Amino acid sequence: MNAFLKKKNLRLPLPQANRQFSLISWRNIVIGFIIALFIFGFLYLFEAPVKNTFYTITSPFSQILWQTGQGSSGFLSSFWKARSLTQENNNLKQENQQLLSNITVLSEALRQDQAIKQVIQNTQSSNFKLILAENIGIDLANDFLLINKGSSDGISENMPVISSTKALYGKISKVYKNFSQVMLISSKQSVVDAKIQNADITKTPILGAVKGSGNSLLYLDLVALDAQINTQDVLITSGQEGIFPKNLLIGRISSVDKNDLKPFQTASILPLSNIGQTDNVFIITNYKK
Amino acid sequence: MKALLKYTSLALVILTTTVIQYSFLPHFTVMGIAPNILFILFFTFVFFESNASYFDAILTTFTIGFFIDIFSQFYFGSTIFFLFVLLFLVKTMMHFLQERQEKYFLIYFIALFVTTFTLYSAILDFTTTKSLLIDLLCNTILAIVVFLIYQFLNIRNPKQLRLFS
Repeated sequence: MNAFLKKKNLRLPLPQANRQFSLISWRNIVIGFIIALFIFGFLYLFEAPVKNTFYTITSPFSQILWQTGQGSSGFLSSFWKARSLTQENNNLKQENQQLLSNITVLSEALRQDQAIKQVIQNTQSSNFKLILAENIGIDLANDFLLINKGSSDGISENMPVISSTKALYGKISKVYKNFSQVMLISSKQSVVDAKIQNADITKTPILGAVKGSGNSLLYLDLVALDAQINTQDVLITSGQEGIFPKNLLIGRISSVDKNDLKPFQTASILPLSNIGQTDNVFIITNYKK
Repeated sequence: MKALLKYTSLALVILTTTVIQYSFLPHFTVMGIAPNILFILFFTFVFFESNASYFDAILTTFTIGFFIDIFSQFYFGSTIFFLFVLLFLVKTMMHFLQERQEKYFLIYFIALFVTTFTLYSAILDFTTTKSLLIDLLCNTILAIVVFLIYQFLNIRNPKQLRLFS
């Protein structure tokens, strides 16, 4: 066969072409791999400055879009409800949260030592050094928020992030020069030690862990089976993990899942902090247990 | 010059989409879920521009992945890498489905979108079954709308919307 081809001065085009193609492919793969390795290495090494630069460039547009989105979502909801009702509802919610916060502080103080403790508690809560930050963007799929304050403003990792009504949003998870990432308490990676604030101050608070289940949802876990949890019970931080100060509002129990086959009971929580309805958050910079 | 204009406009479109995705859309959620327009943009490009050169496809995928990674808390580059895997997957499936594409275009679009979006959500967003269904439904509806608009404009003026022709 080969002799015949040689005689006729013919070539075997297909295998030769395949060989050449395969050689070129391998070379391309190796070159592609080296380029990819170089790019990923570069991105890994310069992640913080690259992200910080990007946020700096886009933050003016992000802020405008955030405010527009907030206004538009309110406007759209007014098609379903009267605008005044939405506004009134928001005001009432805010007022309600403020009252809940006050009740929590007062109940806790009463349980421990009536009037003196109440004064101490109020002093403690007003002793927080707070930094105001604006929301720029949110990764809803993973429950991470981006704010416009960073290491140059004195922000560092694990600082608690709260609302103006002392409702807990989360903690600082990553810090860049002018921006920070906040891990919301609804993130799947988030665990917060919490307690249920009993209306009856003589009772011992029920302790548990508030875990995020993504998409702005929370649940209460690790609660003893014999503990009595009711819907509408208010959850606050217990401060045991040392990251969050105690008595920050978390949410209300919306449903309880008690099963004797499970070692602990769980409960769904309705968060008291709605990140989509606010422009600003506060970072507590001086809390250390 | 023409190429520079083409790639700059493409980068601007992706950048604008990114800012809208992370700053505007979170205010319009359904059960805590917002549409993922960046993924829809990626998929629409890969699906409709199946004849685009590999360089264009790689560049677009890299740019979209880069912008997603900017807002992501994972390792920088993880979304880029995963989008490349999806690009390869879609291109391979499109290759096998090429013969019958004209006939069942929308069905192929939906099937491929659902497959890739499920993979994307399950791996990069760790989405649970319940929220994945809502996420999938919401994004598939939006992707179909984009598909119909794209096809309608393409029929009227085949050259108008094509990023790479």
